[in-house]
Amino acid sequence: MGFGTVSDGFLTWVYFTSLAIGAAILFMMARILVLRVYLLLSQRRTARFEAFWRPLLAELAIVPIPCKGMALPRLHRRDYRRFIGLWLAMQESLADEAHERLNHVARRLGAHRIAQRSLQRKSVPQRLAALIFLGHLKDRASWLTLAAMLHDASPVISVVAARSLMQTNPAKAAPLVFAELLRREDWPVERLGLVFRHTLSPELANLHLTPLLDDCDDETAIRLLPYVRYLHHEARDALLFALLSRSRSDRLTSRVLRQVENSGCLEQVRRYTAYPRWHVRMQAVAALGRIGTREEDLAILTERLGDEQWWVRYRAAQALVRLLGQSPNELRALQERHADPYARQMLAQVMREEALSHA
Amino acid sequence: MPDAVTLVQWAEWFFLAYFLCVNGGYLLLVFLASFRLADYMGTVDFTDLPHVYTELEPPVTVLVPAYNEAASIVGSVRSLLQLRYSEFEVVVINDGSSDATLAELLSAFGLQEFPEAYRVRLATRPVRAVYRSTLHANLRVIDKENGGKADALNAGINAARYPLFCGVDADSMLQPESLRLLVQPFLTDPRTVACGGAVRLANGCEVSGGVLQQARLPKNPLALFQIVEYLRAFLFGRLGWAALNALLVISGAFGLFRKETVVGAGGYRVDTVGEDMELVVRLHRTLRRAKKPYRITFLPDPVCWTEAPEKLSTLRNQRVRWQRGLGESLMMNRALFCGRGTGLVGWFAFPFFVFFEWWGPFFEVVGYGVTIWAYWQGLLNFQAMLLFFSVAVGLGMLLSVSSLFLEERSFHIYTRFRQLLALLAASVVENFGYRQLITLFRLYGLMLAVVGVRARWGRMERRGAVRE
Repeated sequence: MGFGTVSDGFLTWVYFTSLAIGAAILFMMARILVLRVYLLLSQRRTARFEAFWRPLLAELAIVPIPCKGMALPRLHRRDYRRFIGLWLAMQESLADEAHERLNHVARRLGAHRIAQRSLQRKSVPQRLAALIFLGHLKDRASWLTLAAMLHDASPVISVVAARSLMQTNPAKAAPLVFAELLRREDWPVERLGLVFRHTLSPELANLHLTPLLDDCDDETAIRLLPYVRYLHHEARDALLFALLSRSRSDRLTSRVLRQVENSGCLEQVRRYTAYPRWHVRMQAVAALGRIGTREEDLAILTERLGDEQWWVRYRAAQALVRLLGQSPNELRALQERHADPYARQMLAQVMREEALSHA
Repeated sequence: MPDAVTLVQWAEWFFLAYFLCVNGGYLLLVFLASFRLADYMGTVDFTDLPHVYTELEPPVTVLVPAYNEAASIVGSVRSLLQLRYSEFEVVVINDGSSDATLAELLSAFGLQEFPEAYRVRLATRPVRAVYRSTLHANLRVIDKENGGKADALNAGINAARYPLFCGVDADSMLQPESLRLLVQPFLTDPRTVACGGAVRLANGCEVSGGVLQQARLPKNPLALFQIVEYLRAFLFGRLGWAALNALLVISGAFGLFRKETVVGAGGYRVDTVGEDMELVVRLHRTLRRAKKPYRITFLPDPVCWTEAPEKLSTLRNQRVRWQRGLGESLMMNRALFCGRGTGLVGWFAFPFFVFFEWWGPFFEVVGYGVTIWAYWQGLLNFQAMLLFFSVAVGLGMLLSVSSLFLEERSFHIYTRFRQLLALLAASVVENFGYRQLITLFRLYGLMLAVVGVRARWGRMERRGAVRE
């Protein structure tokens, strides 16, 4: 029984491998237990910290008393991250004067200096927290650092930097943010929407966005189009008309049509209802439902109701219901008259949807 | 001709190398997952502040295939309607239930038959009727003839109005923020075509109103072992594969897909019990063949909870079905195996799944069997046998403990110290019996497939393992 000399070497190797595995398991287990102990201690410290600071910050945020002469408790450096977490949670749910009072408190406590230093750290969570913090604080002293972080390779860091810059000084930040938006392709539209939501006024949008859209290629226009919503109506309508007139890209055309709400584009919209690409037809038909007229567009929409594409039929039916919504008999008559069974079915669906939405 | 001792030595070398490779592969995945997890945990709290919507988020259709779920369907749908997201619809597909599933839905949600212009893009069993809720404008129910889960999902895709669809099981419990979190990869990377959500086990947990309130551990040891198993194989393993863009499985319990991409690939296949995995593998195959840039990724946040089987027979049926589904998915897409232009998917992930997941149970059982036989025949001494088993079992234990380590560094959802101790104990004990039992179940599934026995879904017994 047993192996020879070669096997002894083999067994030795297996023996040491199993020892190494055992040691690794014990090491991992010890680390897990240490992490848990650390977590429990940290949670207790955080609970004690919040029990003291939360009511204090809440009171300082809502009570309209001057804070200048008021002595604030000292914020330990080790509690900075806890303070930032608590302060940010409150800031994200407050507005206006409460914001400003909390900003004042943060400055009095010196948290802004720690945040400024945190911008230079390697840790991504620390940099992000500092970015958001300084944005709420509208910290002009950090402007140059924030502007540099706008070009960070990480889209997360750069978008948050964009937000902080826009919060600090929208007029100065807007050209920088739009330039960066054009330069890179990894900024999600939805995140930029959040950035601009409260910071990009129609005047600023007109000042910076309109010139860019006036003189750009179709691909760039597609990327800037979602932000046209921040313009004044008149400027927006004029821009959409111009883009629709000069667009050579079906993608751009359908996206512009999606935003059209002004009858100035009516003739163009009508032409696009017969376009070869279905998604352009669909958006044109939907736009016709918003800006079209009963007298002139009923025939177009009735024809599109029999389109080969489901979505074109659906939008045509919705547009018809929108135009003829006050005349249900006329809608029913139209439905009965239509030779295409798919068209009749689609109109029945949309009429029922409309009835249920008003129920 | 080598003698018996030499043959046994070669066999032992082979099986040792096999165990090292399979567990080494998983340890590599856990290692990769640790980086992805660190990135995710570092940014998740900040990337979507403030938590408001801009109406620029893509709307989502939530598809809920249901078969004989009368006991729980109303609660499930109510909790789905409470999801916090800017725009979504819920489409329940009653797949020819023989119980009161449809009646329960009709009654609870004020459903009325609706003249839907139903569009058949994917062939399915006939649809009998479409209903719309008078109470919730974003709820529709499709009543159709029974065709299986894949068929039901295809019918749901046909009716889906939105560009993304999320397939959930009727018994999945989502968190209110689940959709918002799962959609993030689609926002940050437009190449994303699918994203899987982490599925956690709700056995023993406290649930209220269809939402998990408090994570607790089950008393049932089978369920406890499955929690460790889920962390190891279905959580951090998948995160590791996602880091390589080589994720081959997105759980049917919770996954988000780009509708047009799935329709373009042909929808779910109805001739497999592993329709969820088969779709993902096919997406890899078709998109790589078309040379389209794409990402299939995974969200590690614990956003979906489901009930694990606590009876051995139910667990066996589940694992036999999973193994068969795995084999079917791989065979149906075997063109991916080391194919030209298949990258890491075809040259690493696919072969890994073939040799270590699909045929893994065979090699494991034979490895144990040869070792025991050799000892019994006197070709191997007791010390050697013990050492082989210690390496094989030890590697599995190391993997489980590593996964627990990642869990502790990230979500640590089991907050009590004794829960952590219980999980640590389970991660050791599961390697002495439970894992071997699962391997036997999987081997049985493999053998059934080899001899050509037809696979069935079987029945999952709901034991109410979750505390309401």
